[in-house]
Amino acid sequence: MVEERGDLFETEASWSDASGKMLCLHTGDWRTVRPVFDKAKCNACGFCYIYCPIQCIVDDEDGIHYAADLEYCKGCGVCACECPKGAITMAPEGDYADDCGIG
Amino acid sequence: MAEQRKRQPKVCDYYKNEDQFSPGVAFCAGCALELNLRFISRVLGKDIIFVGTPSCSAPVLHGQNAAAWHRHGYYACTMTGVASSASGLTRYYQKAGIDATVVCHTGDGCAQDVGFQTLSGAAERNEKMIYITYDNEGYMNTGIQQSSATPFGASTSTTPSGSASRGKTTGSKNMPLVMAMHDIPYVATATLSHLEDYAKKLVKAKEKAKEGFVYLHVFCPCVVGWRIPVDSSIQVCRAAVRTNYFPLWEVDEDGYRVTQPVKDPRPVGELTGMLGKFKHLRDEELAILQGQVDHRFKVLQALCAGSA
Amino acid sequence: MTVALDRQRKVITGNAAAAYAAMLCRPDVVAAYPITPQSEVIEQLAKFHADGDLDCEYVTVEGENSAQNVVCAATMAGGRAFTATSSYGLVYMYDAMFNTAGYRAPVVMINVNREPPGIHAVCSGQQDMISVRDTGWVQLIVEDCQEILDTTIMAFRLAEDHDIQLPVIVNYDGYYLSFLAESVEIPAIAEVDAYLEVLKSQPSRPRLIPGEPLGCGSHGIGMGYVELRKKHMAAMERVKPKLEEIDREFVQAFGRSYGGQVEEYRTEDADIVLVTSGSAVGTARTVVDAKRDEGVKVGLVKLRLYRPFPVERLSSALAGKKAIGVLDRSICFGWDCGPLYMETLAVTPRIGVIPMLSFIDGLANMDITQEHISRMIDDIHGASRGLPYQEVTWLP
Repeated sequence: MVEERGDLFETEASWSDASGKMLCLHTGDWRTVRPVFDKAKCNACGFCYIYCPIQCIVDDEDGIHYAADLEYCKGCGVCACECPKGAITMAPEGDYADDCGIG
Repeated sequence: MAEQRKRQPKVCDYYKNEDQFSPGVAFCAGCALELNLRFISRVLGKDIIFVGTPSCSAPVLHGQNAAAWHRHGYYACTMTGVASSASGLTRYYQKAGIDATVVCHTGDGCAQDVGFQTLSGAAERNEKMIYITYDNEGYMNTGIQQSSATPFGASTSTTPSGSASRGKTTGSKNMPLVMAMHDIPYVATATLSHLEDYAKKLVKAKEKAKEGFVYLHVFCPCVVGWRIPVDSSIQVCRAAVRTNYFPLWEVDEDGYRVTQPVKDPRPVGELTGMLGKFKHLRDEELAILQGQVDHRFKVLQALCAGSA
Repeated sequence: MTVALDRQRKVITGNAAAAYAAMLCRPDVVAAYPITPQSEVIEQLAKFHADGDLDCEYVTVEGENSAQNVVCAATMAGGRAFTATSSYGLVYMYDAMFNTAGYRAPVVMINVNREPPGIHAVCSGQQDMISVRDTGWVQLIVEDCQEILDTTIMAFRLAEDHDIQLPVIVNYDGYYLSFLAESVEIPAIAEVDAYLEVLKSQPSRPRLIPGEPLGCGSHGIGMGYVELRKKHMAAMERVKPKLEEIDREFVQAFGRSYGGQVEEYRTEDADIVLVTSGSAVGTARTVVDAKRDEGVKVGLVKLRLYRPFPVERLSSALAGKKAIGVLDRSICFGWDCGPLYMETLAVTPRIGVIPMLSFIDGLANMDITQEHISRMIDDIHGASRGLPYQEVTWLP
């Protein structure tokens, strides 16, 4: 006998409602390499911005260049591949182990 | 260094809204389909209603229990029912006077195989909707099986290359032309390397969908299924256009035209050389594929010339 | 406007009666694909539409599978939708039927009973209805042309009721009712509007509207899926009392009653009972009366509701009887008997073990005659008196 258990659906059928929170995966955990942006080579053309499959390229603090949102960047490297100036390189996550705040 | 100013690529002029999708969704790293879906959303705007089906896009387009990965309205149905469900939606919206753009978003397996009948029927009835096929040349979500969009010679899990046979033995359906033969208001091909071309076609599609059925066929590589480096999806799209393997064209009431003419098309071997699924291809097999590409482009040119 | 919209009496076929009923309920979307013996239903609706009598989106789909998807989606967007089919067409929509029921889409569908798959016969039989019994749809089956019309109107009332929200099939025997012309009273459209008006004051169901972040058909994961199945099952059970309520409302509005889930004919003092459904009921009534004149205390239970199975009403009608016979117009593989018989057997724990006989007749448009039913009653009667009997009999 199943006792008090809250319903997962308010509806009778399989409706989803995204007006509150949306589902979200922390896809930044996926990557093994991350994009590194060399501003000196960058001409701010925006190709990385438009071609990133997950659209996680955001404005850099300087308002001119671009950066990747590392919460979600999957490390696919499309940005580096598409950059006409070779301004993006993919570096191993291991180089940034200090960033993870352990030890 | 001269002062640099941020300029956004021209395609951004077409963006109607911020990305309606959650920032973290379960597409493979480097998947062109992820860019496809986010791009469609940005160009067409948040009020579109997606009709989706089991496929690579399903885990993201469809909700999980009462929660979802994006803020668009959507209708999830069986592969056999996409264009027909969309017909039901669009017909009711018309009856009720509700302004709506219904966008079917399926893979090639649905559009060209199991959902083809209903797609053809909806096109013949000139139902007001946009049907977008993302063509990754096979059933990828279920494990890289072949579809009628898989090209000649490609190795898939149901047409693997072995000692007794060497990949798919037949060519693919020329699906965009098949749909063009339904004499609908607008048909176009597009891909993710030529985003401005794609954006223009999406904007035109939205307008044309007020008159009737619109079909867009998008070349969309699969990193896993085609066995390509995870960063190379866009390059592969570009190569497909440059070899005339996937020419970018459109047809409307004024006729056929190639929207991105390629001056000196490269041999199709430059494309197949990038793709692991063609690794086994011998010269004579490549020649057959080249012949098919050439023939198909000749037909397209004849249609364009006939429209002039 | 070409058809009179006042209450009228006309001689029309069963198919036309179905079309009239659908037209009077003002569907927003009608999906149409022809199949014998249903085609006249959609042809009549097309005529209503072409003459301006039916303001709807009439979608000439390219197959029944599409028809089902069209009507399901149209109701999910918030509309009222209708389609009709038969045998192979019904089975062709099979995958979509699970969606319609699973999405709790209040579609109303006519199914003109015809023998489906296997042997290319174009003839009456109920196997089609039986073959989709587990899709989660409500299923009703009717006896004559008037009941076709009345039950189709009741089907919209039932399907869209806020407590129910389930798709409904109204079945009727192909050939025997589809092409039979009878005198039928057709209600005024204003009367049907008034009968369905109550739905407008109920809480509205979710709808797929552009600009709203609502999605239909989301993946039910784990317990979410189980929860929806339980809700669906519970809604099915609520159909039983709801159908009785709707029947009472119908009597008030139109003066005709069908008894709700089942109709009991001369069962109160009966020793033996014949259970059956569909057009054969009409013949059975005549034979029951004749047998009564001979002194056999026989009664008849007409099964109107097939899904959900009217367990309680049937049990109370059969309790205390000495023997039961069930006439099926279809077969139940694996149990070597008729399917309605098999389900009636399942009420045994509620009524005790009594002789039950299965009669399989009327397959492939073979007539169920008065002689057949007379023989069935004789067999049931013999069983009730302790004589040896055959559990399953195929007729003729």
